[in-house]
Amino acid sequence: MKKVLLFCLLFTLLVSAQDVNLFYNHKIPTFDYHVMYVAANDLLGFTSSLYNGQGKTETYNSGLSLNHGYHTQNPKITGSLNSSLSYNYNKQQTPNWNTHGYNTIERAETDFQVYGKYSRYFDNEKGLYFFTDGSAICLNGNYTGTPGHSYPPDLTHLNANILMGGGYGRVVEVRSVAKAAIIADEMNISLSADILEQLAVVIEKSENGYYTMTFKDDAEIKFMEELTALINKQDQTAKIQQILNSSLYKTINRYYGWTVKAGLGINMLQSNIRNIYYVDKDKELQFDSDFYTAFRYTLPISFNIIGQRA
Amino acid sequence: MNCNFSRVFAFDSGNYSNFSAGVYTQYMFLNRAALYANAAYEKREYSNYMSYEVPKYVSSAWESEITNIHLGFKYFIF
Repeated sequence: MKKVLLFCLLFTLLVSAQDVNLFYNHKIPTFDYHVMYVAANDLLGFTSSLYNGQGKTETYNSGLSLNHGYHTQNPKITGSLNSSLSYNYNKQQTPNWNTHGYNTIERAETDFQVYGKYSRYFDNEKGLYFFTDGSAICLNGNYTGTPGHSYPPDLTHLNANILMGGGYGRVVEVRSVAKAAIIADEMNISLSADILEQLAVVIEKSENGYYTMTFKDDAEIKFMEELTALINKQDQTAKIQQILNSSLYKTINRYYGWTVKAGLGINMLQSNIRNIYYVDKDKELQFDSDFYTAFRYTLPISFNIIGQRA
Repeated sequence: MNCNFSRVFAFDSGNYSNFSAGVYTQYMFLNRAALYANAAYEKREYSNYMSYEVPKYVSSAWESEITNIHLGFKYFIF
């Protein structure tokens, strides 16, 4: 029994050796994008409901947000910064049977959110590195309403977290390599390791939002142009789209490599929101910090690069 | 009578063109009394094997009305 298990293990490692090399040689793609937009899902929103015997309820909504996103990536540096500033106004009128008028609650809310992360490798892209990861949410809400009618007190919510530290090694996501191999397999074409790697880079850039954020409406066209040019199959766009999007060809996420890292996290919270139904009148600032450490080792050992598919 | 007028044009926030905007409108009116107008009485059987003709609940004013208007946009500065 032990000999059979040993044989199975050796067979797995030998058969997957070529595939593992493809995973190991996968380079982190180099690209960046910068995007900023103004949006309002409800620049003007109005809902009126009249149910028999229950009177008329009217709700007005108005909001506007400014959103910003930046991402940069190369084998040594990965950084992103996303932020949004939004304003929302809401007014609700419900019937007041005592006064034969309406109870009114108005809410004006300002919301600022920022999230960023940055990591930098020093000498080589799988060696010593520094990382930081932070987010902050600041929300301020003011309520006014009909005198005598209850409405919540003003909301204040400030939550900020930052984690920074250092480590050694790298775990690389390699699903795009498996996807490139699936394309080659399904199209029945033989591709060199270099072309497979270039295909994987294009797929990974697409999955990380590069084409959508850079080319907007033309994202799919640019993506398919680059992909089909690499394998010289410009007339097979529909088939490649099917391979990339159909559930028949989906593959699970794969990672390759190892890393050990440690850092210090600082968390700050000042909020009077107890839950979505209740707001406290008082708020106090809380600080907390924690030590963080992690070790991760991962090696795909499937019999072939495209995975075990039925 | 059931009247439903909806979705003249929907705003799609998933659209990544440089500028997209839309209006969503819906009006719904429902009068439940009309549903009962043809049979104002129904036969009910009870556990003592007796049956009775009982009037159905008929209201001439069971109405509900919902109006929705939404206007939105999205503009990419860059």
